[in-house]
Amino acid sequence: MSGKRYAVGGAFFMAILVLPPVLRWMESSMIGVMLGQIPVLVVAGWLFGFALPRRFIEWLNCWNENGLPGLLLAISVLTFWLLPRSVDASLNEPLLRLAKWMMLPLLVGMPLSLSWKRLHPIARGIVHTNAISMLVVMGWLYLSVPVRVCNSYLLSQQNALGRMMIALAIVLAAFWSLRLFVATTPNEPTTR
Amino acid sequence: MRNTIAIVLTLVFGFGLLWHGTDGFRAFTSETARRLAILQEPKLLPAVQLEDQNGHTFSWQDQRGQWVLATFIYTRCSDVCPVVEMNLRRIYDAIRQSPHSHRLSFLSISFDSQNDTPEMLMHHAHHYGADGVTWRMARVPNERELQRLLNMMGVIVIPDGKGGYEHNAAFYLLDKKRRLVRIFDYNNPQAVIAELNHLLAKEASSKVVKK
Repeated sequence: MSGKRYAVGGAFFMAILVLPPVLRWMESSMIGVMLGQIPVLVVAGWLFGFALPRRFIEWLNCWNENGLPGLLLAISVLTFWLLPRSVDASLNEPLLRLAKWMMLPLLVGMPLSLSWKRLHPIARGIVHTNAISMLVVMGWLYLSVPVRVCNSYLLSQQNALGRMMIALAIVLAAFWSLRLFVATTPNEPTTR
Repeated sequence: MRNTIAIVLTLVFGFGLLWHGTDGFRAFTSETARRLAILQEPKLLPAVQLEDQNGHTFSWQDQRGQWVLATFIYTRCSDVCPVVEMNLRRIYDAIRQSPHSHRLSFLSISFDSQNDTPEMLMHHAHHYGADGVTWRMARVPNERELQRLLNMMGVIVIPDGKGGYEHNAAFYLLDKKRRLVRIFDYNNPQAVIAELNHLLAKEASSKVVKK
């Protein structure tokens, strides 16, 4: 029952993204694609992960005992779709657009949701810190590189994205470090 | 055990995906990918009818065995096009003083066929000191032909909503067989001049050998 609800939730997110006005609005700016569309597609996949039949999850878990295979799969596929070249291609070539819309939920969001709980806390910490540092590095790159990396977007949008990424990195860093002090270590969050 | 196998498999898959997606970690943007592809395999230009600043129509065939260095602009452009044209001017001046001046002609193609009438192009030519013979300004009156040409060259033109356009800029070298053989950065004229001199000299020497 609740699994079905997650599937509906994921489908709902994807349906909103595909609405022509939303699609046009998001794809009209680089921020919309990189910090809007791509993360929402991943979240949709994350929700789909909860809707999988239990037996299938158990079978997957044999292959994904410590969660690392799922994490590595998600990271490599996400990296691929973050390449400026893929961003351009997914906007200009219908087949690649379809590939992006399938791969981000199914090969990034879903493996993440199936692997996250299984990951060692240290691995999770590495993911957190790397996410922050990658956001800063990419943001700094987008701010300082004088050439447009995407043919589909303006330089000013690239700079705006850079600023936004650095801002996001600061917010995430603040959030995660605050949580360290405010909440107890979230190893067993369900015992309360 | 199965977990380890899965890690190895995902690593292989991820590496393969990124290797494939970047042409072996060489092309991270579509612009570099395009340049690499052209360098490896020159592409034949589509047949288009161009109209120059005097209102004369011409096509690639009329280039009389010359190479062409082309670029894409629109005359009302105020950000990147002036830089592109000034740099093209530098290359034009340098090549005119080289022994290969008769082997290369220059072409600024406007993608704003609506506004860039021959009069506007003529004005533009005067502004940048183009002689109108070796360096011509042109537009492609047929919309469909223009689109085909832009697609083939890898030029993406986006209207910015204020009557202008955002577009990727570069210099495109066309050889005598009407093929696109090189795409150069627009902001490094010295490198373009060096490469052009090298290519044109190579061509000249191969001709001597043939005779």
